[in-house]
Amino acid sequence: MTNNKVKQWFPDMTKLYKPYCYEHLISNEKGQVCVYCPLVSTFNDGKIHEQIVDYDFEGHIRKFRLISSPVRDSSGSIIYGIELIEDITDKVNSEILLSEKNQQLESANKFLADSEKALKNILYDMKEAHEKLKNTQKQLIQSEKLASIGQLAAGIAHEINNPVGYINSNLSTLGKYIESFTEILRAVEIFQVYFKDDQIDKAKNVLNELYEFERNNDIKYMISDVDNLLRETKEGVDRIKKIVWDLRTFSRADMGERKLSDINKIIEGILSIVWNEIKYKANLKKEYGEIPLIDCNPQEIGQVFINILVNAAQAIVDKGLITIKTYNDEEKVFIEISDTGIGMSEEVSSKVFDPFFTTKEVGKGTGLGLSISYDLVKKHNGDIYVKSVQGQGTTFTIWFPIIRR
Amino acid sequence: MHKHKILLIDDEQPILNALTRVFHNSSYELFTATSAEQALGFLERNNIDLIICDYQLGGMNGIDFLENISKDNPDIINILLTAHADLDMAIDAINRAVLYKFIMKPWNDNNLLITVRRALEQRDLIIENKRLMNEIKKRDIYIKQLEKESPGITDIKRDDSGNIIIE
Repeated sequence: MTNNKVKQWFPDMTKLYKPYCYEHLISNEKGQVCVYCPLVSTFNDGKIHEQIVDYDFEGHIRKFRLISSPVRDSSGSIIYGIELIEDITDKVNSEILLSEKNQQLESANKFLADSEKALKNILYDMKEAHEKLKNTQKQLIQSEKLASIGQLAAGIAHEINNPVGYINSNLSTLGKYIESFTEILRAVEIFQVYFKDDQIDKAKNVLNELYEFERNNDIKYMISDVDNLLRETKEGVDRIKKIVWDLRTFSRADMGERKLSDINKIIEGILSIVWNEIKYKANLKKEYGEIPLIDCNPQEIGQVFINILVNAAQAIVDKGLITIKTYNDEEKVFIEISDTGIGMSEEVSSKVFDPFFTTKEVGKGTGLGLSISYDLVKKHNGDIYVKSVQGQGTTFTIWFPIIRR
Repeated sequence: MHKHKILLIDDEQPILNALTRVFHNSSYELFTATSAEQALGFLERNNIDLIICDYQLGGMNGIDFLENISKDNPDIINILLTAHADLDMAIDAINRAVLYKFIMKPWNDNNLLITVRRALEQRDLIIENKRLMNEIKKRDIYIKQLEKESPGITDIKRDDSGNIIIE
């Protein structure tokens, strides 16, 4: 018995004419029971069998699933076999398609995951590179700062060794004064003893010796000088203290922190560091305005002033004038540093903020001073610009924003 | 006794004051100048024997200054006192400024006193030597003149025991 579907597949098959399925299969040329027939196996062992086979329908290969099961009578003997034939071609095809799609999806996923990983790596590398760059810039600023201190070292040594020179000398002079004073005190003591004992002659002798000692050693000069000596020595110590303090404030490697700072005070501190570069070259005119505090890193701002002031002094050939002016409007604090030096051509002044641009001899300038100054001012949301007339002088103007709280 | 004259030049008054104290009780006559111009004034009016000069003078450096004055005053002893020195400066100083000594700030008072004393002794010896050489030259000329006028007069004859024989 067959159902409609089988009739559709094997239209010629009837109970009388070629009743077995294998008789209709093109692929089965021998006309015998197919070797894989599950029904045969079911008849043999009475169990359910399953087989998947390909049939060739005039060139179209279709896939079939054959399931055979036994039908038994009351005694248990097998009387029929039932074969279920299912065309699973479409099902299988869609499964393959699905698995292919799945595979594609999976590999797409993998690709995505890989890409993400790669991106993360790139991001990490970039972060690292950025960090490195930031560090390098920090180091560059510090090196430039140290280089500028190095170039200032001769001047700073001069500024320190001069007071050390006279402090040292004054102290050893003072030692000699004290020796003499001690000598006199000792004589006075001896005089007092003789005087108490009424040994007037001996006392007189001591007194005469004392007078002679005073004459010989110019004690009057010592007494008149000692106040001056101490005052000058103290002033020398104060000078050194100030230079060392300003230098330390400026050169600390920690780069300092941002804080509300008085720009006028920063300039004053920097002036004591660069004073030796300026004092023989220029008179200094300070026009400090009463300006509000600025949120800034005093060391970084100091570095900017050092660069501009040293350049100003170097631009002056013989003797000139450097003017420092500070003032403010509603939003900004301005600092103007002008010199009466040789000035710059337009070509030079347009390049002064370029890194490694320098007009100085090899070894005299890094070519980074003003470039770093520019960066530092920009970092503080300010601006710096230059106006120069050849033969007349140069003016640098810097401003910083006032932050109202 | 001839009092030696020392000229101290430094643009910082406290340095001049300290040096003045160092030389105060010694037998020198001191002049102090805070600038090259002032120092030139002293040099014109006085017979300066020795100069102690700072490197950094207002307007001019000590080496240029000493080189300039050495041309007209070759006998003056030059000592450079400087708060900072590098090789270039040292070479420059030795080659141009005809230096007796190169002294760094801070200086040592006793060493400075000894240096100055020795320098002046040496200078005195040189001047004395020059004076004596001149003296000898003069006498030589005189003797030659005598010989010309009276030939044989400067020729001294002695006998075997060293006695002068007058003919």
